[in-house]
Amino acid sequence: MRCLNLVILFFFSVHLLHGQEVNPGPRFTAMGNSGVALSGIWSLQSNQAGMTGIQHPEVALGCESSFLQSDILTQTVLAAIPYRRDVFGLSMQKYGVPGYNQNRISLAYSKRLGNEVSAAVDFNFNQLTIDKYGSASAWSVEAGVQYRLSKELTIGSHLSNPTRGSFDNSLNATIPVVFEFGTSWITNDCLTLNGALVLDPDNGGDFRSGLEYKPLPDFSICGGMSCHPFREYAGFCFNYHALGIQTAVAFHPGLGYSPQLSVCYEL
Amino acid sequence: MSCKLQLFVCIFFCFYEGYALAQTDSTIESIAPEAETLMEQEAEDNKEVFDYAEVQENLNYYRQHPLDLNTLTKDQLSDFYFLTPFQINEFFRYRERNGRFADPLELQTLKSFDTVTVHRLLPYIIVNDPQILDIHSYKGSVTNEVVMTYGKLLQKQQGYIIPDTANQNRYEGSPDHMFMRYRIHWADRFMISLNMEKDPGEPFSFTGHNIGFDFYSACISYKGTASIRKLVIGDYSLQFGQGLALWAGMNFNKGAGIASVARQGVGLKPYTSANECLFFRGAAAAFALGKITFTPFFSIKKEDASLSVRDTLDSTRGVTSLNQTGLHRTKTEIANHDDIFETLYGGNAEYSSGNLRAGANVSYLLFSRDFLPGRYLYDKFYFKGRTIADASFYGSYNWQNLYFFSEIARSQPGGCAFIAGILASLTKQVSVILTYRQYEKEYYSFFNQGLSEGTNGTAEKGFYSGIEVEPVSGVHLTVLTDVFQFPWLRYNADAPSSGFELFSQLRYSPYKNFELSFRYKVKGSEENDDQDETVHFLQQVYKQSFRIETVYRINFLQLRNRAELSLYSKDEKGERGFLIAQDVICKPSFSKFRCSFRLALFNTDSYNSRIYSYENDLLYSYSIPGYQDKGIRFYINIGYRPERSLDLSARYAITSYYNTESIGSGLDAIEGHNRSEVKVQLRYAF
Repeated sequence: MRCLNLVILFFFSVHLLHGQEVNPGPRFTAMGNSGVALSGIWSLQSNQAGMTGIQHPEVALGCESSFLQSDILTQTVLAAIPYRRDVFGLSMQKYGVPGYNQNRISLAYSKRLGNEVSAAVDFNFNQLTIDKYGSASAWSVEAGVQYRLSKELTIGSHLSNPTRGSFDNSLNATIPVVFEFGTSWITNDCLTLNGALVLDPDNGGDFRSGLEYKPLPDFSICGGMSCHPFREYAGFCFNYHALGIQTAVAFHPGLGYSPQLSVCYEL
Repeated sequence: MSCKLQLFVCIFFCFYEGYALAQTDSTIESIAPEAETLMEQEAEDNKEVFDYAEVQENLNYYRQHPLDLNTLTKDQLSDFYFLTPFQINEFFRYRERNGRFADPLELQTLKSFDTVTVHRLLPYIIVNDPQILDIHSYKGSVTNEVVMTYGKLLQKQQGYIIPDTANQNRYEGSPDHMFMRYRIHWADRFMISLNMEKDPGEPFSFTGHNIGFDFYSACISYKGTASIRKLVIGDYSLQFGQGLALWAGMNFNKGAGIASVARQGVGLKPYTSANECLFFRGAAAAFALGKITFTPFFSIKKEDASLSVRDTLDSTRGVTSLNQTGLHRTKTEIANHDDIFETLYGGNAEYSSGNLRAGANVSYLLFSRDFLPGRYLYDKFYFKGRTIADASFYGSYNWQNLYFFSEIARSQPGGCAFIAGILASLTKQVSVILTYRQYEKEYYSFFNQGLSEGTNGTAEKGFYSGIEVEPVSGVHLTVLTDVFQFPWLRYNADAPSSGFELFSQLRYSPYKNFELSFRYKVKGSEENDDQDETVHFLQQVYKQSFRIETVYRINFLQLRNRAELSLYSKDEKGERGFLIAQDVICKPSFSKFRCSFRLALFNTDSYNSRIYSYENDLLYSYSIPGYQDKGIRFYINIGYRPERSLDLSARYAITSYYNTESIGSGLDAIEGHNRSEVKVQLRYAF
């Protein structure tokens, strides 16, 4: 029996997430950052197992401005290269303000195991650089898997930094340990619904959900929300031949709007 | 919190001729789950819990006089609040294009009508053979219904113990609650309605200013199909647009499901509710000229108001606040009773054709005394002076699977209020609503009930969104979110504040007799801190609640189990509340008796973690007590129908608290740890 895997997690604590958030790109962000069971080049920053759908080499650029009034900028470059049933991905993300930067370089490898299962592993080099203070670095690992239950339903699971790689203890920046589990349900040609549970032992849990509606084949509107902290998201995506443009904005009731834009190109 | 206990006692008049009460109790309109959720939400937000009776009465009437699918009007279809704008519009498009319906079940061929909705509508609709004379001709049936209720709290409250000689505030009347309602329907055209009520503590006498009951409400209403569509003399209500300027009566605000957020104002309606304010008294009519309906209205009535001297130099008295509880128990409340006159006049014009509906209304309100300016900073923009004019434009348009609705209103003196939204039926299984509202702090209307978080419907900006998903038959998920900002101060918030609200519910009903539901709600808002300082700072307040409920039916028995946990936190302080309840509802069709009872255990740390739970009550009575502190609650309702036209029912409810020597405070305080009440009701139709 098909069952809907949107389960609501009970959570009690409110904690701030320290350190950079890995930007999953406008489309996944607009869907509430619930991309653990979705696919595309931006899976490189979400659940890498979602990269296996890529047929041709693809590159993408993205930029996010956090909380409009601040100077915080997140810039990302991605590339994905398929090779037989495998896909290699490379991404570089720079987050911070002039004088304070957290950079991340990732190398991911995803493989299709059979027709229904995809798995991936990802290695990250994280570097924190503060002007006049020097820099610190740390390694971290991620792993993810996706399982296609049917043409409409996919479930995904992803684990970030299970080895608890971290910077020096004296620094107030961490690499979060996060476990995600979610589903994506394609109701018909026009509508996709997602839901994901996110667990962070240090910071509590979250439930995220989102939807993508395609009124036209090359144009889609996305919306989503997350519970903890409470945020709402919206965005749209537009494809023109090999070029894809995605844009999203995240809204936090206290902190305001964070817009972002990405351009993808399929080679 | 004013929780009205409405009691009905029937009086025998004579043997009936013509229509009687419905044959079995299974045909009496039972309260809908959305209405239960809505009433619990209103009670929790300390808002006036609206008298759902006007909705239930309407539906009961349609049960006994089903509507003919081929002649019903848009207003009549809008009375079924569970219908979405898509369904209503598609119904009329289908009827225009395809002609007569041959059978009620033909509704299933309409794309937007799912099986559940059709079955929900079936008891109220019929298809008449056009060859046979229309049974709703004006020579047709006259039906009368009388309902009388009596109730009383068994323990003596402090307000009744204080003797008359002591110069203190006390309840001047007896603790009895009496309510009587009388209706006459003449076919579908005329209705006469009369309501009389005395709340506990109000005096019942014929001396001085008193004329028996404390509250009377009456009206004569006519509904026609010619130029004069509606005419009401007496008490009436008006509902236009999205409720920003003129909406009196029941409204389905947040939390009841997404379709009802896109309001369908039905315009002029006779007032049949028991609420003692927010209605009009005078005359109003609706004239149809082609596709445009004009509704002029006029009202003059008295309001309860607290008066005060302006200042030491000016001894004329002005209004400091309107008393909208309708209670006249103490000397102060009695002195404030009917203290000022309120005159309202204006008109509405509305164009309705196919998928488009647009209208405008203008109203002018005049009081017999000035309203004094507020004393605090948070009420700086409240109404002051003597007059206010409100105007609004509204419109709605249905395009394919999208329904757009909007209203813009302006008050003079004052500012603007605006709301716009889209209701989208994305697929057969998924519907989404998005609504943006912005109410300026200078905007004011006494009769606005637009979608809002605050109680005034002013000084607010917000974005409300919701989704309803039915992934497979029997599984229903609803998620509603609201993000709001208050650009000005509020009571208990000394700075502009913001917050959010999330409501999510999953219902699982694998077969007809069983239902399991989970609900999670969270609300984050900002309030003044609890420090004893002159200057207060805002603190985050979180309220969460988790509920699990099962409903199952075995023959004539219905069992409901509910467990609910509520969590409250402000600053570092946290509080918890817990409720567990078991309901049994027994309505055998072979017996003249019916009964329902509940046993509930509750344990909450304090008032902040209280839990509201809707309780089954006598017909047209609604009970949503707040379970607070620690104790047990039990109630039982028994009904007996000796014959079709007569129904007797009684209720006994008791709340027993642990570890306490008194309940409540002030004039409502009771010595001891039990609080129990009794109600009896008689319904007679002839």
